[in-house]
This record gives sequence, C-alpha cells and structure tokens, in this order.
Amino acid sequence: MTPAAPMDVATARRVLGRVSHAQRFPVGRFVPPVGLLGSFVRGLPELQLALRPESRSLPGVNMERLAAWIEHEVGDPTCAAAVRGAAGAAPSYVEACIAVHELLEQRLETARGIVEAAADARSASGSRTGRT
Amino acid sequence: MTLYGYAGTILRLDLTARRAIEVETARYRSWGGGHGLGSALFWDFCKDKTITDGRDPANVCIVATSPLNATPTPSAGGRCEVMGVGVGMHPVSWFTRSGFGGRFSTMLKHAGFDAIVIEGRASSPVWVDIRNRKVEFHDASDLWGTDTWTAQKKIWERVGAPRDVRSGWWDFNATAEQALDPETDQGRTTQRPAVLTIGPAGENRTAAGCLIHDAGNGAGQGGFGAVWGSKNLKAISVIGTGEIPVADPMALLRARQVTKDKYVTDIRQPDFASWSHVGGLPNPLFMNPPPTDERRPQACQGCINGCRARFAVGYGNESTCQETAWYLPAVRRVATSVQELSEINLRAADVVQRYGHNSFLFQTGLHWLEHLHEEGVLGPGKAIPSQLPWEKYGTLEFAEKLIHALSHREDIGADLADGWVQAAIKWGREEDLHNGNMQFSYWGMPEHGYDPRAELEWGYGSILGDRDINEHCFNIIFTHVTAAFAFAKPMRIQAQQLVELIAEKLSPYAVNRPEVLDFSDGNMYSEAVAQLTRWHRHYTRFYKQSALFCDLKWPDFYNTNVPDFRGATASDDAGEQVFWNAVTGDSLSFEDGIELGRRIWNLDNAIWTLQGRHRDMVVYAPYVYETRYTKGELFPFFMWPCRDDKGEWQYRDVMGRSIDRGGFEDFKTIFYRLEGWDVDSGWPTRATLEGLDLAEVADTLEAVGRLGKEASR
Repeated sequence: MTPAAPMDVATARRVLGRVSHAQRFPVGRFVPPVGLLGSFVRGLPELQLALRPESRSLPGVNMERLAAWIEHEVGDPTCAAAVRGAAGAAPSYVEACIAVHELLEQRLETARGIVEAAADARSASGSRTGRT
Repeated sequence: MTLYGYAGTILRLDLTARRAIEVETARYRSWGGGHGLGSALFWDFCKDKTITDGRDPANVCIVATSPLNATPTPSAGGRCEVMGVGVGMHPVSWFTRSGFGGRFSTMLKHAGFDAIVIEGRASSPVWVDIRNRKVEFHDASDLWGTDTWTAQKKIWERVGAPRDVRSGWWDFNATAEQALDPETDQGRTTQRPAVLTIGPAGENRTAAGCLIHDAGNGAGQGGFGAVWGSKNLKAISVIGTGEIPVADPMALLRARQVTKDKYVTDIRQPDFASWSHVGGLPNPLFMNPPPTDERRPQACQGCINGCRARFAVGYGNESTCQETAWYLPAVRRVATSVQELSEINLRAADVVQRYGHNSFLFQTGLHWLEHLHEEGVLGPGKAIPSQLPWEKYGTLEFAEKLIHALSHREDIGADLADGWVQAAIKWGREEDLHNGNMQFSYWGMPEHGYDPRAELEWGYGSILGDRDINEHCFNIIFTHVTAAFAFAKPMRIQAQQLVELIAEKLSPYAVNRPEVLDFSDGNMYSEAVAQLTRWHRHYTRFYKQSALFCDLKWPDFYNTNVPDFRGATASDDAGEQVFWNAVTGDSLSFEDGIELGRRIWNLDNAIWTLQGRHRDMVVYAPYVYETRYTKGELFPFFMWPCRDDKGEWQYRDVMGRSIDRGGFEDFKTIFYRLEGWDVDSGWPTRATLEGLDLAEVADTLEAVGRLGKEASR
C-alpha cells in the first residue's frame, strides 16, 4: 500500500472533503519558547497545512488517534494504514510528522487527480449527451 | 540626592480637571519600580478600592517604568508595566496588570517621569502631550474613532516642528520658525514621540480593549484599553531628551559583557539547541511562518533578542507571538497554500493591532464561537443571533467583520464586550465551562496553552493571583525537554541535574529543594510545590514585573553555554541583582529582591481583599476539575521532571489528568499558611503585613473588617 494507491471517486471526495464539526480532530502547534496553540482540523487538506514542517515550531498531533480518525471519520482506511505505518517506522516524533505530511501530500494529490478526472469525464459525457 | 536609575518624578494626570501634578519618586523609592511602584501608587491614589469594574471613574491606571529602562541591561531596557482594576474578568475584575515593550518607557524616563498615574475622567476625549516634563491636554475629538495606527500618525504630525530633511533633527520645544535654528540645542532629537493609544475596542469600553504603542506593542490583558476609553483618554504621547543617571556604568557594562561572553551562545559557533533562557540565539516569535525572509529584526530598546520584524511585504510588522496566530485555525479552513495561510494570518494580526483588540481572547475563544456556530446555536436566526458572514469563516473579510463587531459592541460583540464568561452565562452556555468546550480557566480568561492540569506552577500562580500569569520562568523546562523528546535527541541535562541546578537558585524558600519541581501525581498538592509557587509569585512580582526583566529571557536557571550549566540568574557576575545594583547603586542581594516581591505581592492581595476576594472564589473553571487533559489536545506529550516510586528523577509525561477539587483546596490551605495569610479567607494578617512594613495596610483592612485572623499557635 502507498499513499498513491488507487482510490475510488467517493473516497477521493472524502479525502478532499470536510467532516462535521462533531468529528473534528485536535491539532496543536508548539512554538518554543512561548507556547502551545490549540486548534482543530476537519479534513485532510487542513491537516496537511497543520503538519507542514516549519523551522521554528512543531505540529502537535497524537499519531495513534490520527490514524483512527482518518480511518473512521474521514473514511480512508488505506491512508490510515499508511499513516500508522509511517508513524510507527519513524525514529522520532518529528520525523513521524514529516513522514505523515509527505504522505498526506501525495494522498491529496492523488485524490485531486481522481476528482478532476471524474469531473472531466462527466463534462465530456455531458457534452456528448448535449448537456452542459 | 541623586536617584540613580530614576528620572525622579511621577506624573499624575487628573483627567477630570485636566491638570498635571508632579510627585517626587523618592517617596516611592522603596517599591523599586514597575509593578511595585504601581501597586503603591494605586493604594495611595485610588480612593475606592472596592471597585470591581475598571471602567468605574474611581479607577486609577498606572503606567510605570523600571530603573533598568533606558539602560543596556540585557532584555530589561524597554518593558513597561500597566496596572489598575481590570475589565471583563469573572467573577470579579481584580486589580491586575499588563505589560508592553517598545520605546515608551524609555522615552517617558527621558522626558523626566518614572510613572504616570491616570485619575478621573475627562468630560470629552483628550490626548496628552508630554515633552520634557511639559504636559498639555489636547482635544481628541478628531482622533476619537480612529484606529491605533492612524491616531499615532496624526499625533506624530502634530508634535513638534518639521524635521530637517538633511539631518533628521528637530526641536520639539521650538516653533516651526525656530525649529531648525542651529543655535538651539535644547530638546533637539531625531526621534518620534512614543505614543500609547487605544483603538475602537477601547473607545467603546469593551473588555478586549488594549493599549497599543507603535505597530505591534500591546498591553492586552486586563482590558486597560476599556479603562482609558472610560476615562475619555485616547492617547499619551511622550518625547524627551533627558538622561538617566547610572550609579556604576562600568559595573553595568561589565555585567553586560559577561552575559555576552559567558552566558550567551557564541555567535561564531552557535549552539542552536542550547538549554538556556538568556543565552539562546535571537529568536523572532512568529506562531506562523513569516511571509518572506526579507525582513529586519525589531526589538524593544536594549533587548538582546528582537522578537519582532518589519517585513518587506509591508504587513504583519511588529506583531509577535499570539497575535500572529489568533486566526490560524480558522484560516486553515480556507487557505490553499502556506503563503496564503501566512498572509491572511498576518493581515489579521494587523486588524487586531489597529482596532486595539486583545487577540488573546481568541486563544480558546475562537474555537468556542466556531463550536456554537457549528452546533447551530449561533448564527442568523439562531438562539444567539449573529449576522456575521460565518460562511466566510477563515477569510480576511470575516476576521475584519468579527473584530469590527466586537470592537463596536455590534452583533455578538454587544454581549462579549463585558466579558466572555459573562456572555456564556447570559447565553445559557454554562455547560461549556464544564465540558471544556469553553476553556476559560482562570478569572474568566482563556487557557494559555500550558494547561493547569499539567503545568502546575502556571495554573496555581494564575488562580492564586489575578490573571493568566504568562510567565515562562519554569515553563522553559517543558520547552527544552519536550523539544528534545520530539526530536529524539539526547537530553542536554538529565532530570536530576536539572532540578538541582534550578533549586540552587530558589532562595530562600526552596533553595536546594529539588522536590519542589516534581509535578508527578503524588506531589501535585504538596508543601513543596506550594513553596515553588510562592517563590515564583515573589520572583516575578519584583524581578519580572517591577525591575522589568523580559519574560522571554529571564530567569536563566540553567545554561548549557556554561561548562557547569549554571545559569545567569542570581549569579555574582551577571545575575539580575547585579544589573539592579549597577544602575541604582543599591546593594540588593538576590534574596532581597525576592523579599521585595513578597511585599508587593502582599500589597496586591490586600487590594484584592478590599475588592471582595475570599478563598472560596479562588477556583478554576469547572472543566479543569471535571475533564482530563487529553494527550494530543495540544501536543502528544508534556514532559516534566518527576520522581518515580523509588525517588529517582526522570522526565515524564504529565498529561492525562485533571485537578482534584479536594487536593487543590488542601493546596490552598498550605499556600496561605506559608504566606502568612488567614487559611479560612485567604486575607493577609496583621503580623504578616507589619512584618513587611505595611502596618497602614493592615489598619485599612481592619477598619473594613477584612483583616485575616492570625494562625493559632
């Protein structure tokens, strides 16, 4: 399994979508020496921004819960398994964050490609049937 | 007699009569400066100390400097302390404090004043113009309604004559015709006046009203913008060319040089991961990546850090820390790139600076508002009506409309203006204070990010005092250890050595008692942690809030730039007291400073007692007791030195727990006893006050039946 593994259009839409407020996931940011900033994300695009590597701060995320959230709330068990594997294999928390960030980047790119392709196909099909 | 380190005069501004009155600083010399000076001035000049809303005309607001301001003491030259009864706290707005940096305090001293005492209420908006001890009140009707940046620009245009284009010099005592006379040397300067002002949030007397100076220096907590707004005071402008006498300039420069040579990481071979406070590399504090590397550092006067920047892109200038990320969680909902994330965030920082609105309220408050909206409680036609464009949450447009509404008491701002917890109660949302949806942990103010269930000294200090402490003295332990764990790096200092190094500095109450730093479950409510808490209260009341050593650099308990890891704090060569003595000519020991801090802390408690404080009110928000601090809520682990069952020290994760009500009540009893306060009420006793040369304070408390009873022997 890789983050670029094929997915169906419904999964791709979930990957790019947003869960309900009740399903939100906590993600903080640790900015030495001044603070921990709390927040929530409601989708993988937001999560990818939240996990971005930055020289002055660290993202704050519980990797075990993150995988479960991606599996059960976002609805992408493939990505969840990849997150679990990447986090488990990383030698440190920071490297886990970097690995998961890269993984999400690929997963989102794959999903965007699938959704765009589906939209193109629908558009082409609509043209053929006279619909616009 | 020369008062080394002081300008020598305190300025009283009677806004009601539009009159300036001078008081000799010598009368208050024993209080040091900053907060100590301010508490003593408040005691003397606030005639009704029972008030519990800072917008009451009886309130007195003090802006105070330190002897170290305008000197090259490392990261202590440019801070300024603000005090008075606050606004919007819950259940009571206490006598409280805030602080800000920049160049206002130094300019005030150069103009001849150590502090300003703001009393009464002007009949119409005024601004105050101070030039080398000359004080004038001006009509501010054309400034009222302007944002903080516009107000400052307009004042800069008015104060003094035009500059000489070639030299940059101008004479602020001269007329425009005389301004460039080369024979005139009095009052010549190249500087702009330092202006402290309020924006719409303060003018409309909202609890979020800040005092803003230059682009991004702000006194946010306490709602002092609302205090100024209630007094019809738009701004104070100050410019001066005087000098501040230093008792022993050579000793001052020597200590500064020692700091550089011994305690600060070598810039030629920098240690990027040093464990030190004063010795770390200069570190700009953006909570979000800056939009560009094309920037200049910007610092308070005399600072060795420079936590701000001015950017080539022209926005986000001088904002630092929390205001650079108050809107971050929302922006992530809409941003499609890191660049967009950064730009909206920093432009949102500009919005709060211009409105003079305290962004700290959004630290947890923004999540709560979003929660209410998403739950269908808040919005158009909902139980909490709001016409704000919630569908645009995360955009700059929404940020501007939200801050506008809150600053003008419009929409939900009408209810939030008097305090967020007050609004929650009015809206019937008390449940949110229990379940943690609204994390306003102490006195109606948001949790800072260092949860009281994990970081004990932060929580205890806040709830036993008057506000979220925002003091990173011990918190730096979390930073160093947690970062090392996150990177799986070796600990630069092992747990036992670390606590022993710190405990060496905790004279007198906790000296060489490393157990005071043990935050394990079994030690949370102990006498040891109570000793740490009181040492911290006393240290900060003097060294941090009166001497005005910056929180970002002091204290320096341990330092890996030094071979034996002993930090600069309390040291004989570059300790806090060394700088104090060099400037003032005192022979203060480090412990003398702690004792002066205890005196100031006790005077503050006497004021809170007059305001109506009782130990029964000293409680956290319910969620702190009723819910656990979940791993991953802000970060996956919170590392702190703890002893295990065998008494061995190690770094352990202190997340996952709550505060026990009974345990905390026991802790309060221990703390009050150690402080010499009545354990039943928390009020100071006569013996304690007289021991601090505060018999007059004891008399006042006794006269109103609020003097604590002495402990039975």
